Amino acid sequence: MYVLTKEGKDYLDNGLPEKRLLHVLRAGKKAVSGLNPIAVGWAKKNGWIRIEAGYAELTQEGREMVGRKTNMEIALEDVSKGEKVDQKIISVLLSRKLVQEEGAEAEEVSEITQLTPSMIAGGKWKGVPFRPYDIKAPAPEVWPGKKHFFTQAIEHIRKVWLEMGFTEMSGPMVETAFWNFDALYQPQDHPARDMADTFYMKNPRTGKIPAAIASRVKEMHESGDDIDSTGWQYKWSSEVAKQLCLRTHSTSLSARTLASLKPEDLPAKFFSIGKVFRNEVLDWKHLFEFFQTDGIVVDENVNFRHLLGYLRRFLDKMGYKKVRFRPSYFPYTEPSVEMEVYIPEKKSWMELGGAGMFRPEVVKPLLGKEIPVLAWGPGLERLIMEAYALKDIRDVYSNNLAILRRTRMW
Amino acid sequence: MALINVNTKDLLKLIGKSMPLDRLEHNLAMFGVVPERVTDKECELEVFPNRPDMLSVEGLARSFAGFIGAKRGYIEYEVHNSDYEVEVGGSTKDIRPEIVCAVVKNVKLTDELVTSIMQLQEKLHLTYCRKRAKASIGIYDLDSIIFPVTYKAEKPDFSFMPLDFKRKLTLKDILKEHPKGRDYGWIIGNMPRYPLLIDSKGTVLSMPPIINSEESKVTERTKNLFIDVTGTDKKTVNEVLNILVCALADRGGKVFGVKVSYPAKKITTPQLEPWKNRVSIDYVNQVLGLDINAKEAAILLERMRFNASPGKDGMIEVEIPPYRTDIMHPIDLVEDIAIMYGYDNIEPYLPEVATIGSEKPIEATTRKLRELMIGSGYQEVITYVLTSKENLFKKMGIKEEAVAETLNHKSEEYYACRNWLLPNIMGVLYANRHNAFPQKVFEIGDCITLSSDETGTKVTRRLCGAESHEKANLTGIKSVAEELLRNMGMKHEIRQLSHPSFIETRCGEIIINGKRAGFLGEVHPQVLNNFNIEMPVVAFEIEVPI
Repeated sequence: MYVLTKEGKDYLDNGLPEKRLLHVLRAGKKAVSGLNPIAVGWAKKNGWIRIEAGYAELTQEGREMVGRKTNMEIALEDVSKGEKVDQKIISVLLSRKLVQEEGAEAEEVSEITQLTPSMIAGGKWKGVPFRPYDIKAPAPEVWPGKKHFFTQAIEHIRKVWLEMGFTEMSGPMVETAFWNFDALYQPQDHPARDMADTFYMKNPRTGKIPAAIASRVKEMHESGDDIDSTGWQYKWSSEVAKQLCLRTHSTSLSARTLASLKPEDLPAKFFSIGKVFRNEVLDWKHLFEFFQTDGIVVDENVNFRHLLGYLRRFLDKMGYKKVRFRPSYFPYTEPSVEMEVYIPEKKSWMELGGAGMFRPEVVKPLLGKEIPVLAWGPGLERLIMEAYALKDIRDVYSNNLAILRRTRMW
Repeated sequence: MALINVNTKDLLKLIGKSMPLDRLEHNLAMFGVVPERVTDKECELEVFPNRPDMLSVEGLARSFAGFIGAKRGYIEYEVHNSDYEVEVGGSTKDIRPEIVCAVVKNVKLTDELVTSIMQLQEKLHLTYCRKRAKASIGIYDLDSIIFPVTYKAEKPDFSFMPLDFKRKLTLKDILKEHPKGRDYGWIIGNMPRYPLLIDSKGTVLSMPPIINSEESKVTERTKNLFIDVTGTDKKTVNEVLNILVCALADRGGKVFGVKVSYPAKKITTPQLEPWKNRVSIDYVNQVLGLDINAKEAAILLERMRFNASPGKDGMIEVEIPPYRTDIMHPIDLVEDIAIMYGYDNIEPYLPEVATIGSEKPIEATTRKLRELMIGSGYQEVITYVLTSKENLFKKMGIKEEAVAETLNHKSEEYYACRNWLLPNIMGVLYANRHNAFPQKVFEIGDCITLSSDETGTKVTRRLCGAESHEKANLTGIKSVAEELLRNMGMKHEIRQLSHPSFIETRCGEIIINGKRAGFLGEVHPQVLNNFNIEMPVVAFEIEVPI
């Protein structure tokens, strides 16, 4: 009467190592040095693989074996069910220590391979040498559950914001043109609002906009309202503002948040991390959907030097010790800044994203007063590509398990 | 954002100061022009949309020279008197109402100048003029024109010889047959008549905004230029004309005014007088966090080629050049002061603003769920929110329902907003069919459903976990799902469910607080076939509670 050993049970549940090897090699040949030597040995013996120049590759027989049960596997099943098995196969299973005679644990062993509970308890290990294992032999790769490397990066950025005392904002992904563009003082004929660059919605088509704020925004666009501004000097349309689109930046959330603040809420600091959308064709440099993070500081007493101070601290916490700032342009900030960070490994500077102070034309209709609002938001995909040396931006979302399993922690 | 190419030697000559290339690159960046590529022959530069005047090397050099300290102060542009007249009938009022004109004489048409002006015209058209719809520029050989010139709307069967063609075409045919007609015909195509600029002898100058005529075109022998800008917006056409004329004037051209007679008014263009504005020194220091006085601020503004002097009550009186389009509020003058002061001279300072940070509660919940899934050995994946209806419904074997979808997408694979996660997870398993098994993946992400909210949609977060291997079965995934819910303290019940994506009798719904919160089961082999997956898949999906 034979029973399965622990190893035999394991192989019954998870497949013989030489069988699992077939699955691994289905995608193509692999270096022998990275493979389980037991599996390689048996697969070669069975004629399922051939080895050439240090690489193992499936033979036709091996390929055909993939979906089928092997004799060994059938035998292991039979043994576990207490059924009779061919003596020749039993010898093989015995030599591989996948089965043993019932009660065989009580036998004397000349050399211990696997330490068992009964040996430990019964003292049978005393005075018996252990079979030496080659500590250098490759162990099979195991894959723990893991966060996606992008999530790790996002969690890190989230921590930076929280440590600096920022409160999270969140909001709609499908957004009215009003909050995405108009409330940020982007004129209605601005190229960014083009069909070519923004995803407009077929369903739902239009949304609702807050009447009181909309009328203040209209005045601001048309004539600069009651502040010292010329405005854009065109006729503003509420129909255009009601059009729904996929938000093109997370600054729409900053606009909504400003509109919800009361004087007693200040000073206030907010951040957001979320998906934004641009109507691009997917290629190695462009995504139509990516993550952005935004932060704003709303305070009567902040100024441009403080903005640079925040940026320097934020970038330092992100891991960038050497940073510089140069003039830039965004329709809703003035002054505007581009953040650049030094990458020591590459000995070069990398653009990280924009920052600035919201224009009075943005702040007045939303907050009711001309209060300084500092704002900044690096793009995340570039950060990630830099950190993981990716050449194609689509790799960030390839979800290739071979890569995800092996990517180091952030 | 516009990229321009400038001849490096030309640029340095116009600035009036030489410098090594690396210094040039650094200075351009700190001035606010992005140096994409700087060589001793050519510079490729990115000019921001608020400075259309810098889309030519003349305009760029003019302001940049101030930044590096080679030049300072306001440039007076003189407009000489003339008898040139343009008559505007009433017919263009509803078609392309605005027109302004200028004459520039004694222009030496060197290669550099021609290249620069052509690039200026092209880039202005593309950006500030909104692809010629808002404004468009015509430049002609002055000496081939007999004044007065008439601007009117002409019948589509009128004909003239357009640029690069050897025969006359009707206006209608030009829109169909000429390359520029095909590119820009949409601007006027649905109008009953088309704009036409024609002189008193019947020589056509152009059909704005489409194309000039061969008869009045600029050649190497041209000494004097006639320029027109037509469009739909008065402010824009004036600004564009000014930018062009000032660039030519900087090259030594002599500017003459043109009388433009509309039915209701007569104006003389170009109007190159500065306009006045003022900024308070307190405001400057308040915004920038600096401590400079009005005299210092005025000097910085003069370096940006404004006319500036300290006035009464801490105000700085500023005269703004006619080629500047971006000064809307004193804050725009403050930014110019900051640029001239040097962003790298402004000392960053972190203020003491005590606030306590906090996250949205759903993030804490998401983190717990993620931890539990990882603990069960699952690898997180991140997929796109945009997908297709085929993915969401047909391939999953369920009836199509209304989802949020886009109108003007460029791809048939990404246009519908996902309202559940499992279809994308199936896509991930298909993409990984050659990788080692078992495969255990999960995603926690936002989905979009239709609602009656102000945006017609609602964002809901969902979690989907799936296992794929030879022995994948319902019990396995049920264990994982239940362990997850138990650990989250979510009391639940599982009931039999019929769901076309799953094998009948091997599917259940997860009920929490009496409502359906999710489902689990063995994915139906028809769905596996639809996704070209050959390994069994079991999955569960739940809505993440807030």
